[in-house]
Amino acid sequence: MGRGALALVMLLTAGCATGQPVIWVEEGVSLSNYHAVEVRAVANETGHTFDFDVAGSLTDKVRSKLAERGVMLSEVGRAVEGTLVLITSLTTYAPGSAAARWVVPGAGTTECIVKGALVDGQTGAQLGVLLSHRSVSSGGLFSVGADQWILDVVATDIADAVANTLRKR
Amino acid sequence: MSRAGFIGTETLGRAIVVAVAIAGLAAGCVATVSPELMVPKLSARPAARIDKTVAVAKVTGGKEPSLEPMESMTIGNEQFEAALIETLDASALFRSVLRTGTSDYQLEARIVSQQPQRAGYLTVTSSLIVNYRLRETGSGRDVWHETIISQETAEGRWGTTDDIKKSLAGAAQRNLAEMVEKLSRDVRVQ
Repeated sequence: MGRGALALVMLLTAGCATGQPVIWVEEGVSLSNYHAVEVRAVANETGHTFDFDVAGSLTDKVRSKLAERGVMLSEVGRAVEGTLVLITSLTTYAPGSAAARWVVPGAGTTECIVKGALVDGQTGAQLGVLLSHRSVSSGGLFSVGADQWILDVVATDIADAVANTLRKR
Repeated sequence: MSRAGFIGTETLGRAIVVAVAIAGLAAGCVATVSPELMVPKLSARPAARIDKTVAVAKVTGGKEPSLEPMESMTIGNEQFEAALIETLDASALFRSVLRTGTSDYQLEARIVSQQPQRAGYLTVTSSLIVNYRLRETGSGRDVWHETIISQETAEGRWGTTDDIKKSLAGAAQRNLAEMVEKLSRDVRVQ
């Protein structure tokens, strides 16, 4: 394989965030009647503080990605009938290090875990749960910036899962 | 090398590969997490006791291990079911946990997701989602349901699957402990 092709393969496979988002809706529950989503602020349950407001950044990203997908957002605290409340918490965030990943694959892993609950805005009944558990443990220097873009990946997971579930009949 | 010699070498090579694979399986490189590792140490007796008998239905959603590195160790249905029975027994939450015969309640558990992921060179974080449902055996009425997400990070030794095993076992322990806590808090039997 030529150097160019090798570099292309490395670029395509480098810095992938592994993990599968999961959304689980309780037996017999349909979310198709909900027309708006109230996105509560992501709670930081990691027990750590970071160089920037990770939970706040995730909250903004989830809201904007849901809006991009055509989901109507409801103001926080003003849930009315037909509003689904999304309550999420950041349980793990490790910025990692691309340099460490370059030296020893597996070392310097970037990791982000957000779990959440889908709750009826009026009754407060829990209708389902969701989880996005993503990590970047390879890719070396090609994975520079993973500490930031992993938040986009997680926010996209959540927005896709919620938007797709709302559309399901 | 003669043809007979070449075939002999090839056969020996295959035998070595098979022997290494068998040794790997025997050493527990590809396995399910054993039930005793998933049973939580419950710190206190439940707040309220449910004066009814319960049986555990067949657990679903578990995974068979494979040769994929992060799937070489998994939580299987039978193992989680055994851990669930052991946990309920230890909690003394119900009058008794029946293995045979008809019980007042049936507890169902479905493993929705199990994800071990590398969190460092010798470290793995596992997340686990389990959906629990308690039904009245006679009527089939849904008495309680809850979906619990848990996670655990654990370290292992180089060349083993200890990190995956410990993190999955820890996530299962947390999940089962939370199930007992919520069941004891939420279920009120008249």
